[in-house]
This record gives sequence, structure tokens and C-alpha cells, in this order.
Amino acid sequence: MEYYLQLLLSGLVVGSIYSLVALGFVIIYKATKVVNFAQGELVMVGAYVCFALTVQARLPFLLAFGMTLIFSFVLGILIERLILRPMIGEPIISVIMVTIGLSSVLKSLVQLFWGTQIQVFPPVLPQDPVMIAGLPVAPVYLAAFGLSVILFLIFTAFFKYSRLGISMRATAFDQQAAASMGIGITNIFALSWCIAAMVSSIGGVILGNINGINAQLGHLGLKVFPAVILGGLDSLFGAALGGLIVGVLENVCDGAAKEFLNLGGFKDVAAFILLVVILMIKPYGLFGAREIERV
Amino acid sequence: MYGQCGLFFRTYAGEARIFPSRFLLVSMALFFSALCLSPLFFNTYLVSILCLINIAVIGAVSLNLLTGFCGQISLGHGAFIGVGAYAAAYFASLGLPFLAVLPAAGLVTAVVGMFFGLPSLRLKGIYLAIATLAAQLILEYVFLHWDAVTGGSSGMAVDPPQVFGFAFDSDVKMFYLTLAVAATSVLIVRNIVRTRLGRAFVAIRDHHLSAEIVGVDLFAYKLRAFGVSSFLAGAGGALWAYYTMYITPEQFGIGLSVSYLAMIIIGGMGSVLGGVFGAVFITILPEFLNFVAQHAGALFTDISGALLAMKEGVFGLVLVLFLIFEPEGLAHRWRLVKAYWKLYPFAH
Amino acid sequence: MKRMAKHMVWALVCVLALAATSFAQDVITIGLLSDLSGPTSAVGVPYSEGIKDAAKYLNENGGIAGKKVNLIEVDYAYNAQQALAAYKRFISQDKIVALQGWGTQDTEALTKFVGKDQIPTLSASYSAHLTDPEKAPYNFFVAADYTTQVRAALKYFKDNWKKAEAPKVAFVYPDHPYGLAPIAGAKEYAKELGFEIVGDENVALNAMDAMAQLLRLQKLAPDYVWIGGTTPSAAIIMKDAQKLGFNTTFFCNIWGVDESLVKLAGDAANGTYSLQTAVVYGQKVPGMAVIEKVTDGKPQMTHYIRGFASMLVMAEGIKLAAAKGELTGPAIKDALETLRDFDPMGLTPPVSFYPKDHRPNMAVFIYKVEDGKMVEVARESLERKAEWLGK
Repeated sequence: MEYYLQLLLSGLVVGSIYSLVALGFVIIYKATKVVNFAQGELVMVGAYVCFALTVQARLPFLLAFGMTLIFSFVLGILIERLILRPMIGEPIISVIMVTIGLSSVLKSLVQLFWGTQIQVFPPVLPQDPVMIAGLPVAPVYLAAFGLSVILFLIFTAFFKYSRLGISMRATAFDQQAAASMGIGITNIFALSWCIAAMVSSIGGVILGNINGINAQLGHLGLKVFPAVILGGLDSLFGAALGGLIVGVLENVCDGAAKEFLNLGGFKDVAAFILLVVILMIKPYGLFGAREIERV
Repeated sequence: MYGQCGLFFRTYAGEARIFPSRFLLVSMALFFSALCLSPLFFNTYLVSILCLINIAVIGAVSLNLLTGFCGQISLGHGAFIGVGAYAAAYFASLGLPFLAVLPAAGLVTAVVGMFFGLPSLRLKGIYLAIATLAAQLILEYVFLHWDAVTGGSSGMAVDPPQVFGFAFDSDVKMFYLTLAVAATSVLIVRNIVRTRLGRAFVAIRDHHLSAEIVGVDLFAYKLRAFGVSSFLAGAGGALWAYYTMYITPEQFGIGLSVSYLAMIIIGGMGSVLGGVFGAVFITILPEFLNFVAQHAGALFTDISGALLAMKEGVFGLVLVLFLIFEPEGLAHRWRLVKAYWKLYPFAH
Repeated sequence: MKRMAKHMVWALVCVLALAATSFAQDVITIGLLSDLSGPTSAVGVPYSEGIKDAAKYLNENGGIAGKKVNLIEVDYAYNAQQALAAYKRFISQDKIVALQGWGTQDTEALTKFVGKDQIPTLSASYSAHLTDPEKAPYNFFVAADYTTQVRAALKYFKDNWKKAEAPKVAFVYPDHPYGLAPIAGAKEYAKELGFEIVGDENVALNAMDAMAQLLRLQKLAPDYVWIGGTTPSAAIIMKDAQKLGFNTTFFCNIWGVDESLVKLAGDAANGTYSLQTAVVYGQKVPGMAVIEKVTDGKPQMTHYIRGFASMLVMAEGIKLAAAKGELTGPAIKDALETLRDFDPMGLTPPVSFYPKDHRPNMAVFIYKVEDGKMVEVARESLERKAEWLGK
């Protein structure tokens, strides 16, 4: 039993990273109804830019981090302007494919500028593990957990109370009505991409601190899908919770599969099986808003 | 409707003809015979590219049927092709002849496809796409772990196909075999599209609520779409297994699904010709880039290494550019070119 | 940007103009399949540079049997279809006589084709079944296969085991063809030597944490743990083990420990044993002077050195075939099978191929990671047993 408790804890810890990435995902969807298959690559680009500033340009970490956020902001504007703006009104499959194409382009650019070798971040946080309920946890994971919670609270407040946040939700709900109310919807789109890129950069820096960075970091984007869909594509709370659930689920299913079924490597596929099951019961995820179709 | 100037129909049957005018029929016949004679002029490398194009055409056209005509986004096509390949390898290892293996592999894939199409009962759009993504990953897991049938991590070897003692063991012979199957698949899909089944698919894609009101049983037809599309994908996978003679689980990953989706997007969704164009384009693109990189490397050595490694980036860039500037794909551009020639010097 | 564009346009024009010209006849054309941008590019790039630099070195020193080496490289990004198309181009347009392959994807897919077209292939995929000429007549490689590497490590540990009770070993590997390949043979040999096999876990190649698996293993207290992955997952395992206070001795093969591991795992990697089949940059062997000159003293990874050695072995085979007057695929294959204890400048253990046995050698260099550096501690050599061929 204690073993499963440790699995649970370890799953929460890893899941907080999924939550961080899932947040960026949901922010884009909430404002623009675009499913961003390039989220993992945005994480990777953020990590590499911070790496370049910290290691190659030898700037102090906080300054490099700030500059990374600014770079992500600009990247978000560029992506929205150049690639997503022409796709307004196109069917969803086209938008999905454009983000897939974008992910390939970003990956290639990163390889072009920084090569394919594994790079290591200088350790920013203390390395000694902290004991929680008998399980040693690296401070980097605690930072990830803390950051997810903080970002989640910030964005929930933003979307609920600030004028800009409400405009974003309005744009997502009905673009034409929002436009006729005087909301500059293209600015809203750009802003949502910028915010998502910045959140991904934070995720990238955290991830880089865990096990170095290389051009394959984008695979995380794929793992985040079950988390996002589980929680509901347009629910911030769902994304945060979904990430944690997927992290826990992977570990617990892996343990159970090993013990009862003697199946190896079940970790990777467990989340997706659960995903399909949940989708059959609750098609819009646990906390997603039901889409009402009108004839 | 892209009706042709000067071409009019007096009967419904006439309008539904695959080749409405004699010019089209003759030019198609000429093109096909040129294709059949091409191995005489091409070296083995180019013939092998044609074989790969044929196999890709089968996959692209079947995916276009599911996603382009019926509107069901499927990110699991690569895995279905893998199911076909493994089914073919398994049946071949049991000793069944090629002519029995090909339809058997198709049927197995059709069943698997329909099983993974069950979520379409409740899911639409992006949620269905994610469910098919789950199907892709689950099937990859099965390929790797069901050792008894798939050989697990060491993969399966397949001998060249034999029909009545005639072995297809060279690129030229495989070209004719794959061409035959590809032509048949294209004909099958073209036929489906002009029948009741195809009209039901298009109705589901365009306005599923109205389709249901009119009497189209949504779930049954969606399952049929998955079934037929997977059957053809299975046939394509079986040919792939016979052609490469060795299959491993890694060959049927998410990258394959993405490249097939790219084929139908670049070629043009919702048109059979689009599937063919897309297959040709995506298969030739990396070879063209290799050609450029290699010869450019002879002159500018510093570009060569960078160019070689940029293939994936160029693929993504091409995809993005097509989606921005030519969202309806190469088939649309082809129609415009034909119309220009036909109507010259008039504008329309 | 504009200049680059102008260059590209110019290049295209010249390319189309030059494409028709034929190259000089006095060359030996060798195909090179690399992964420069795909999932294994982190190690694929140094390996391909080793091969290219070796070819350059050979050309600067008179070529092979007086002819220059023309190496044609294609980046297939770990995609089987592109590997196949590139291979078809190599044999029909470029007329290669030999092929330098890379990983499992291309080597496995092309085994039957190279056998049919009779193109000797040296690869970097060291799976045991490629050493059996019955199944893969034209495949060779210059490192001991994965299973032999594990067996050598097990023998080394058993020989140095001082305690009375049986040593315990556990296997951790990715759920992937590369990880699964050596496990059966390794377990069999471990039992034969008297090890107690206590654990068996899966850690994916792109795993972010291995806590669950290590928690299970820690309870079983193995003395030795085999990590069958690549450096990123090995680093994760070692770091998590360090966090858990799990004291055990890890051992990995050539893809599990290299210079990146030390970067990633820091001091968690200390004490790990690594099985290498090539020397580390800077070691005092005859070939190192050559490599240091070619690379201007810049340290390279072990994969670079292995690639360099692979090209040297291929060159030796070509030289022997040319001496007999025939420069064709089958002739090169036969020449390679006559190699007896060929020493590629000390960079790898001596290589011998036999007509019925394509295992290069049964020798492994055993390194230990100490203070962030790889230090050679032993050279283990196993008997060339017939029943181990292909397993």
C-alpha cells in the first residue's frame, strides 16, 4: 500500500509538469478554438533560448529568463500573424495540420541553430532532494508544482475578473458577436498565443533543469493531450487537474500492470486507454463545457 | 460545381460517369499506358520511387475517403496500415498465397478500423482526432508486445509475393503489382463517391444534423467509412510489407499518420485526384531535397550538411505554405489550370 | 538572408547544369546512411562525422589502392521508407560497392536487399542476429554485439565477485526493439554464471522519471543493474536512484554511457561501468594521433571514434579486394571475411570476420565513470562460442 502511495506522489510530481504545458494549450484553445499541436515545440524553443542566453551568452539567470519571456512574446505574435491569421475560418483539420507543420519547422530551426547534441542547463535550483512522505523529491519538481498552481490561479483570476480576460472568453464563444461589440479579435488571438508561448517557456526552463534539453523535447506535446482532453479543452482547472491525473495514472497503472498482468511498458499507453474510455462517457472531458449545436 | 463549359448531361447516369468526356477517357488511357511503359526508360531507383508512390496512393486515397469525404479526422491511419502489414506478414507466414493474403489483410484491418471508429458515435472534430491518436498509440503498443503474432521487437520478414508460381521479386515486377492494386483502389473510391454511400458520406461531413433528419443513419455510415477506408489501408499495408520484405513496429508511428494527412491536405481533401497528387508530392519531396542537397554540396559544402538535416523543416514549411496559400490543394490548382486552358482567351 | 537566397538560386542553377556530368571513373563510391535530424541524431551526427573524417583522411593519404573514396551521404531521419529510397538510389544511380548504415530502422529494413544486391554493409546497429551470415550474409559491424557486451560485463563482475552468496542482477531496458534485443541471451548467461536475476523493469527511452520502477527494484536490492537505454534515460535512472539512496552498480552499453551522460547525470553517474567497443578520445593508441590531427584536438565522442574505425575496417576490406583485382560487392564481402585480427590503429579491439561468423570480436573495453571521466579498467574477452552466434 505504501508503494502505491509513493507511486501516487511521484505521479503528482511528474504530472505537475504536464499541467504546466497543458495550461498553455488550454489558453490558446480558450481564446481561439485552435488546437495547438506545436505546444511541445514551443516548450522546446523556450528551453533552448534560455539555454542560449544563460550558457552561451553567460547572462545571469534571472535576466536570461526575462529575456526568454520577451522572446516568447514576440514569437507568439509572429506565429499568430504569419501563420494563424490566414487560417481564420478554415476547417479544423487545416488548423491542426498547420500547427503540425509549424512544429516541424520549429524543430528544424532549433536543430539548425543549436545542433542535435544534448545540452545541459546549469543548475538553478538546489539539487538536494526534499523528503515528502518518505519519497525524495527534487526541488525542481516542487518548483514545477508551485508554478503550475500559481499560474493557474493567476490565469483563473485573469479570465474571470479582468476586462482582457473576459474579452478573450467572449472571442472564443462567438467571434462575430465579440467583434461587433468592439473587441479587436485579432489582437486577442495574438495575445493568447503570446501568453501560451510564455507559459511554455517557463515549462521549458523547468524541463531543461530536469534532464537537459535536446531537439526531441517536443514529444512532450503528445503526452499532454490526454491531460488536456481529460480535463476538457477549454477548462483551465481541467488542464491543471488533468495533468496531475495523467501523471498519477501513468505510475499507478504501470505498477498495477506489472504486478497483476506482468505487462511491461504499460506506462506510455495507459493514459491513452483511459482517455478513450473517459471520452466515451464524457465526450467533452471532465470539466469541459458542453458544446451546444444549433440547427 | 465545377461544371465544364460545353459539356452537358441529359441523364443522371451520364452525369455520374467517371469519364464524362471522351477526351478525358483517351488522355487517361494514354497516361496509363505511358505509366506501364515507364520501367523501360527508368532505372531501378526511379521504378522503386514509383512503387512507393503507388503504395502511398492507396493509403492517401483511403484516408481521403474517411477524412476528406466523410469528415472524420483520423490520426491513426499509419497504425491501420501497420495492421494491414502485420496481418499480411502473419498470413504469409502461415503459408497462404498472395491472392488470399491481400483481401484477408484488408478484412482484418477493416474490422480493427471499425472497432477504433466506435468513438465516432459520440465524438466529433478534435475529440475524434484525439481518440484516433489514442488508437495509433495503442496499436503501436500491440505491435511491439504481441510477440506471438507480430514477432514483437524483432519484426517480421516477408517473402516476395507469388501469384500462381510467378514471383514478384524485382522492383519492376512489384511496380506492376502495386500499380494494379493502386489503380483498383482509386477506381473503388471513385465509384463509392458517385454512389449512395459516397453521397451519405458527404452529407455527414457537410451538415450532419440535416443528414440525420433526411434519414442517413450517422453511426452506421461512419462505421462504413472507417471500414472501407481501413480495408484499403490494410491492402496498402500488405503491399508495403511485401515490398520492403521486413516490417518492424517503428515503421508505423505517428509520423506516418502525419505524412498521410499531409498528403491529403496538400493534394486536396474531398477529391480522389487530390489523394493521388498528394501521394506523389509527399513521396517525391524528400528525394528532391536529397538531390538538391547532394549536388549543392558539391559546390557549397557548408550548405549541404544543413540542407540534409532540414528535410523535416522543409516538409513542415511546405505544409504550412500550402495551407496558407492553397488551402484546397493541388487538385484545385489543377482544375484552375485546366479551366484556363479550356477557356482561353476568355476569363470564364 | 538575401545572400543566402542568392546562393541557393545559384546552387540550383549550377546543380541542374552539373547534374548531367559524370564523375571521374577512378573512385570508390560508398553510400552513407545517417540520422542527422531524427530521434537518434544526438549520437548519429558524431558517428557520421567519424566516417566522413576517416574517408577524408584516407583520401589525403592516397586513397584505397590508389583510388579516391567518394562518400555519398543521405540523412534518412530514422524513417524506413527514406532509407529504402536512398538505398535504391545508391545502387542504381550512384553504383555503390559498399554501404555504411546506421541504426536498427535502416539496417533491418535493408538486410534482405543488401543480401540480394550483394552490397557489404557495415552498420552501427549491433544486434546479435545480424552476426549470423545465414540470416544476414552481407551485414557486418565493428563492435561486439549488444548481447556479447552484456555477457562480457557479467563475466567481469562474476570474476571480481568476492562474497559467498550469489550476486543479484536486475535488468532495466526500454520497451523497444533496441532494448529488448539482448535481454534473453543476457539472462541465460547470467543464470549460467550463477547470478540471481531479481528484477526486470521497463523505462522508456524518453522517460522523464523512473521513480516507480526504481522503488520496486530497491526492495529487491540487486547488486548490479543493467540499463539498456540511451543516455537520457540512463541519466534519469541514475539521478532518481541517487535521490532514493538506492546504492547499486549500474552498467550500460555504448549508447547508455557516453560523454553526454556525465553532463546530464553529474555525480550520479560516478561508479557506473560502461561497456565500450572503442577507445575514448585522448587515449594513447596509434590511431588517436591521427584523429587528434584531423579534429584539431577537439574532443569527440566515442561514437565518432567508432565511426572512424568502421570506415577503416571497410577500407581494409576494399584494399584486400582491390589487391585481388576485383572491386565488387561480393569480392569485398569475401575480403572482409578473410580479416584476421585486423587492428584499426588500436581504436577498437582487433576485428576478425569468418565466412560463417560475422562477429567482429568477443572483446569489450570496460570503463568506469570516475569523477566525471571515463577510465578504462579492464578489457574482457569471451570465447567465440558457436551457440551464441546470432543470439
